[in-house]
Amino acid sequence: MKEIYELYKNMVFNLALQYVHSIEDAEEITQDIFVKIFDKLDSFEYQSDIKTWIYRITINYSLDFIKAKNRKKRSFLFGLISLNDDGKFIEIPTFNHPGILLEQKEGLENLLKCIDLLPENQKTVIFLLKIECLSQVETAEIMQLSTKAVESLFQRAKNKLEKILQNEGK
Amino acid sequence: MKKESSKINMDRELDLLKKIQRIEVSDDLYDKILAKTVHEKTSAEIISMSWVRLAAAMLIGFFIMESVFLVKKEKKDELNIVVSMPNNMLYE
Repeated sequence: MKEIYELYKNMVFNLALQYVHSIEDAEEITQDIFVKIFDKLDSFEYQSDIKTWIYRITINYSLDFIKAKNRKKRSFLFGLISLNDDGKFIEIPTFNHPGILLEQKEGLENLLKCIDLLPENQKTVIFLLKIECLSQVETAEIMQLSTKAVESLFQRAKNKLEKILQNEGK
Repeated sequence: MKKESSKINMDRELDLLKKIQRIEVSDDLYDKILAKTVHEKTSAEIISMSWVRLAAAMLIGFFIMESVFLVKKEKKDELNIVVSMPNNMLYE
């Protein structure tokens, strides 16, 4: 268990960080993902690569985490009492990405915020290809798509992102 | 020509993402995960309050339905007694 954790802890944490842009949330996601991994490790059949499996869990869990957080935030905005599982008030997250250096902060922050506006699969394809620097074949395996589908998905993501950036610039 | 230049810009924009630094996970995270694993195992053995509430609601619903059914049945029985009693007054 510890070996798997040591091998993949930074991969899980950093990918989660790209989705949530907050150290606290990324740590929470990393904890929950490894609890899940340790729980399901016995039933894991080594038909697919463990790294691919962990990537898939991380992507799905991060997306679910964002959805749950947005739901809670919405209820908070509508004036209802919004509490987390411990009964504490939820704080609306701020952009707190520790991987962004000060000199690139403005540009990267804006770019990541625009990427956030993309559909889930387009966002994921950008993260895997451009931040994780995975090949199209690896990305296709993680996303359970063909390499051609990944290519066209990336192209669509780029076009949409371009439009969003142009609108932002206006 | 215009499309080509905008494409180059987009590639340059996306290459910015490669400058995001990778962050090391804090050292105490593994202990937190182990603690969470133990907590999840113990809490799974305890019946959650939501299931208790659901069972209680179902029980109350069942009692309400049962009492409504009994009241209706009683009224029907009373009516049956009145109707089924032979009235031979006219023949006497």
